[in-house]
Amino acid sequence: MALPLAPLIWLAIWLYMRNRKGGAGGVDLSPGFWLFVWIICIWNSVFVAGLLFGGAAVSENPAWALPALAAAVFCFPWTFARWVLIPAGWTRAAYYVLRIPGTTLWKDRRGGALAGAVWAHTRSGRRSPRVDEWLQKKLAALSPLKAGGVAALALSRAAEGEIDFARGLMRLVLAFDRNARPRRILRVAVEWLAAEAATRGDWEAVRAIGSRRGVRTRWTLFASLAARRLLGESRPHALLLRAAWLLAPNRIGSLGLLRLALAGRQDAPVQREEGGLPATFSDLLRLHAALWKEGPASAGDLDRVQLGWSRLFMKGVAGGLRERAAAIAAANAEHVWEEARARIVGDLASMLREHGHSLAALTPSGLTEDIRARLEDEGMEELEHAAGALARRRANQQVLPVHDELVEWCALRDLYESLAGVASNGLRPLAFASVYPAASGHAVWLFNERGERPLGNALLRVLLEEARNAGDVEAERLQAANVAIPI
Amino acid sequence: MASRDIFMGIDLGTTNSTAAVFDGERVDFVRDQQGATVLPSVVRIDSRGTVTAGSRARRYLESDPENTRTEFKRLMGTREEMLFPASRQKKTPPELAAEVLKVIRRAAGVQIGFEPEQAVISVPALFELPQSAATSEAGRLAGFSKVELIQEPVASALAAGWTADEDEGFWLVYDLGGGTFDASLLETRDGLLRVVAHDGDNFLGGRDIDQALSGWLAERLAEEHGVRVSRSDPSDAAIFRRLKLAAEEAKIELSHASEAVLSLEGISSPKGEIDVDLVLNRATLDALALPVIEKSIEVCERLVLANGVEKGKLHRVVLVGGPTAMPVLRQRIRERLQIPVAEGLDPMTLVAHGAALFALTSRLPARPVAVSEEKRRSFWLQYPGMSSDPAPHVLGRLTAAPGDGTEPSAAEPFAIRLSRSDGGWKGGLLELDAEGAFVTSVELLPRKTSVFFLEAFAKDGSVVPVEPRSLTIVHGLTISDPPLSRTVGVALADDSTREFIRRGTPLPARKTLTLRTVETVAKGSEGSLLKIPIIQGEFPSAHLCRLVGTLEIAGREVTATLPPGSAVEVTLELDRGGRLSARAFVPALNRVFSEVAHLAVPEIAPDSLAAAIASARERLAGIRRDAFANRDRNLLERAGEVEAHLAEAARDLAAARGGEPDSTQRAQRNLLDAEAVLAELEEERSWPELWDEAQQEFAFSAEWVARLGTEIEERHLSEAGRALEKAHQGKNATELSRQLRLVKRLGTAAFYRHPDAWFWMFDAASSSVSRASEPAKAAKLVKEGEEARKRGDSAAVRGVVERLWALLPPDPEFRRLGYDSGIR
Amino acid sequence: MKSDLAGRVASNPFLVLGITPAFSRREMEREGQKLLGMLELGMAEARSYPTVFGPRPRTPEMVREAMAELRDPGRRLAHELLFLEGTAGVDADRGEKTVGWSGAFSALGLSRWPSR
Ligand SMILES: Nc1ncnc2c1ncn2[C@@H]1O[C@H](COP(=O)(O)OP(=O)(O)O)[C@@H](O)[C@H]1O
Ligand SMILES: [Mg+2]
Repeated sequence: MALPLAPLIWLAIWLYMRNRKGGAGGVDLSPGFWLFVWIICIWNSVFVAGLLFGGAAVSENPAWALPALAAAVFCFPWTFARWVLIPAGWTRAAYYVLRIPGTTLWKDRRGGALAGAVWAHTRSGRRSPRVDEWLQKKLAALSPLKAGGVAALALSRAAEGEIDFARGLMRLVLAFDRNARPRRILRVAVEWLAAEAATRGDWEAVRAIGSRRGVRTRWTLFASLAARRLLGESRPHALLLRAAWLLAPNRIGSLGLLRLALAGRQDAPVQREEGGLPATFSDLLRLHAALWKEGPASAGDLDRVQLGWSRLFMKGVAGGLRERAAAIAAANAEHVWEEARARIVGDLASMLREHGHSLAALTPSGLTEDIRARLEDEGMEELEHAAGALARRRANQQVLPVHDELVEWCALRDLYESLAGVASNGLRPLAFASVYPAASGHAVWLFNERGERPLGNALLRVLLEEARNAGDVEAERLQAANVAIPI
Repeated sequence: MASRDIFMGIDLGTTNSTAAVFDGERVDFVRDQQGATVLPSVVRIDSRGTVTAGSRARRYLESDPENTRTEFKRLMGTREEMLFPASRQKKTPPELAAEVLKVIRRAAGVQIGFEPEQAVISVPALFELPQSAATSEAGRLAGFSKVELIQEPVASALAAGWTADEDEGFWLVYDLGGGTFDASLLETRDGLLRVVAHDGDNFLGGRDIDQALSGWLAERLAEEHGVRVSRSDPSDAAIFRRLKLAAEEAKIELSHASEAVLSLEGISSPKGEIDVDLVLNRATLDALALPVIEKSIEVCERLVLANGVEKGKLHRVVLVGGPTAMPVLRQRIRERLQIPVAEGLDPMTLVAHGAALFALTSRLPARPVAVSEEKRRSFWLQYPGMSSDPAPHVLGRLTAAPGDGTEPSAAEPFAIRLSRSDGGWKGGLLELDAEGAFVTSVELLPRKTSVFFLEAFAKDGSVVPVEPRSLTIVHGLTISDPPLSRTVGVALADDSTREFIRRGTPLPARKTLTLRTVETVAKGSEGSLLKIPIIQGEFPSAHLCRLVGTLEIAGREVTATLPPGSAVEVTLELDRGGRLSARAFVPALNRVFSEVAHLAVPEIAPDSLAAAIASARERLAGIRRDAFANRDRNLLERAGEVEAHLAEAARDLAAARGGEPDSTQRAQRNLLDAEAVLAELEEERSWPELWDEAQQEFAFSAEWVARLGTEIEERHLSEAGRALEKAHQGKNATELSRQLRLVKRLGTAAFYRHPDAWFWMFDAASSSVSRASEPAKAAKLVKEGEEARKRGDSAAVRGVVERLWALLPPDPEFRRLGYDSGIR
Repeated sequence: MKSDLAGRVASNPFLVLGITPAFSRREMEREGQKLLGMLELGMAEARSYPTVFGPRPRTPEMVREAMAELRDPGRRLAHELLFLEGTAGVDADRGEKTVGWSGAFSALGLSRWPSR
């Protein structure tokens, strides 16, 4: 008869410990200690819960199930919250259940619990201003910010529709030190990123996420298999795909992806005969205009148009234009021609960037050099502006709330990557050199002076990785040392 | 048609104003009680606060100059207020202009039987937005419900073209007023009139002739009567005013007569009060006036030349303004410019005449069309009041029935027909479309006024009475819309500009462009403010254009923090009167901001202008020295150009100090022009220096990378070297400094790998410690550093150096230049 | 359609005025005048014009600006070059299409607030 009370006893111990912790002014107990306590506690509780369920089954008295349930919640708060409270949209319940100390979120319990709560709120179907305010207050109070908090922010922004910013934040979650990043949160971030990439149809990214070691989940594994099939490179067998789908959670929801992947690539690349390109300005313009239609233009399409234009412009001012100029008494045929060329180059460059294609996707022609120059010029200018703004703000000690700091950081990172990704290889070191001093200074500032050590550390990690990519040996050495400073 | 529409045009001049009314056939000029068509732009407020304007006020210009003001047009658009000490009243320029307009409006009311409610007012071609807006405001204050603006030269040409027979080619409009001179080059082609370019001198006019003449009079007084008067003696100011008035009267008289007698009564002389009679002949006046005339012609030559029009190609010149009545002026123009002078036009009233014609063109009748009270169906018609097209479109649409459904459907118009009143043309029967509308074209009588009858028919063919029964179109020149005089745009953070509405764009105009923010606007923060400066001018550098307003997005109004690079959709809108409105839509916030901080020509204190001129002089001297050293003739010539602008600016500044408030504006403009050329010259000059610096940097980096760099670094460096070379060839300064940054990074990275690097840096930093912001703290750091060096502790030295750097002054920012813009 | 070129093609003065480069200056003025009248009268057919991107709204300001652009021979020439008429041809084969999976977020139980 004393057995059902066991969880309550544990609860009492927990409350005591919590009080002690709070009373000591936030003195942290060593994680090892907690681990020890909880391993004992959990397995005891599992045992108790099992007994209780057994008792309920044997005695056919449903009242027994109640304490059993409590014990189960107590043992597996994340599982309970993730599969019951969040789908039900019980925001506060999710928050408090996730605050139950356990091993799952102990690296950032407040932030992690908040992430769960935000998620639950978005699932509640109805946006309550009161709950919103409550969440925002809790979010703002998170300091220092750790991975859980960043994920919470990301979920809340994603719900607002700010997907780009949310993506930046989720990527940042991956960069956090493992001591500030609960595993569950990492998994949420990874799945979110995979889903987001799938929404955009960026299968390359989906595959990359699924094959990242150490952060794979069953769902991202399935998604990456599907992505590989859709990319049509090495096609995993349909059976394998089905098996992965069966193993992954969210089966019903993911059925759409399974079907899509099984259907495979919808349209094989159309073979185009060489020389089939239009030869007049207006026909080319029409072909070009087709690229502006909704949805991303493929690299192949861009290349085709680009080739057509370069062929046309190689021939110099069209005779028709000269005649026309004479007819209407305009003396600037050359200028008009050059201006049109510059506009077309500019447009090709901006499309390349907007759709995230690399310059390498274009066949070298009379225009590609100009497109490159254009891309580099515009991109570098934007980047310099953004980095300058960051540096200026720090120099003026203009402190923003941490969340807003993140807005700025993510915007800068997106800008940098879109530029580094699209242009030639030679640009990466140049781009890096122009953002690095400001970005690094900023991260160090957050780390040293703003008391945001985990966040500062995460930003430095991002810089470290990028220093490697850009081949900046000195920055790499320095950031490796910085990252090693314990948070 | 009960009565013809009447159209009104007003020339609101600096010295004189005139007005004309036009009924579609005849032009009449508005006369005041004395029967004069020319109304002095003078306003007086006496000690009881009674306001008088026009010729009655002008009389007091001599005896009570304190309380009698003129030339307020020069101050339009500024925040300057004019004080009338007797009544202790302050009036803004538009308020004073409104007093003149009120007199005109009243006089016109007597003449045409009702007080006009709508009119066209002319403004100088070079008026900028705030000045135009102030003029519209004056019209509103005078009681007009709607006014439209037209550029003075366009009005003149319209009036001149209207009475002329042929109209192809380039025209010059020469407008010499009381104190301003404007020259405009216009082109007519296919019956369409266009202003090609303007030039002018804001301080040249009839007044200068009066000045010269009164000087001559003073000499005569001294020689013949022993009366000594001196301009610099304040006690002689009154007599000089009298001399000037007498001189002006004589001057005007001499435009028609060959001799004039000046009688000055009660002049105090050594022999007591005497009456003086002086005889002035035309030759003397001509000699005195010649410098003014020659100067104005030089401006014309400059204008014509600058626009690549050969002298002989000028079709003709239209003379406007009082002084152009002088025969010598006409003769000199004919001789020097070799153009026929359009004769038979009254230079005083031409502008008002043209403005009235324009009122017809834009169908702005003095009395808005009254809605018919009768129970008949009416058409809402659209057609040009005046058109160069011999077959313009006429459109119409049935308005809602006044009785609304009570009328039998049999009377519903089904088709219409238009026919010309002289019977020379008849249109076909035209069925109305589903919207009750029709579109057709009519045939005009060449160079005449055509009246068309509108008839409507029901489905059964019976005639349906409709309003209006006729419409009038004049065949003549077309000027569709007033063009914008100077490009309007937005200043960007890097001091460049983004053009929104280009010069010459017809008004009204609206344009929306997406720009990006350069820095964070923090939510709810008092301190952070995003500025969007609105500028006017055609220079590529924002600071050389004129700031006409600023749109502001304040942090406290922002609901979510805006990161840099956020989109801002800026819309600029100009109405026909040149009033500017601006708004910014921020998609991320889903909010519109429309607060324009100020919209007036900003005043600059004469002292700071003087300082600016001095510093420009200094910069110029530097360029000159270089130019001499390198025997660069081109550079020297262009330096001369700057010099000319600066000299003008200095002259204006002196005038401003002497109490001519609008010359500050002019000085400012000249200074801007000078700076534009200076900036160009400096860039050219600094290029070799920049390249030298780049080469040195590269050499430094190459050495260190070779010694201590990695393979990747070496590769990057050599790529950067190639890019540098390319930037050098293309003279691309931005690219050069960008590559230079990478080069420096590579070089310093390698450099710091040297075990002694930080010791060297320490030496460098401690040598410039005198410039540190906190010397005591810096000295302490130096000491600390020296100790660490003795210990050989590189890491500690490094810490010291970094802290020292923080104390040294940062690089200046050049963002201030672009009016502190927060966007790009 | 962020690019400058696309904007220029869509707001080409010839399209705005509903004419082709074959129209003379005088004919252009007449068409512009007519459109201004139609817009003033609120006639439905004048309120939009076809472009390769589908119909675009037409305002009196646009008509006026278009007329001013075409009066200048130099600028007219530039607009003639970028004149792209009609709606046909833009759907011409767009090779490979990248297909996204719109159900990804909801499959994971992630949802968004309805937009404001
Ligand atoms: N018949 C004339 N002959 C010479 N000068 C004249 C004559 N009539 C007026 N003026 C001069 O013209 C000037 C005013 O010209 P106006 O065109 O009215 O000036 P604004 O355009 O500045 O209002 C005055 O200086 C006046 O003396
Ligand atoms: Mg005048």
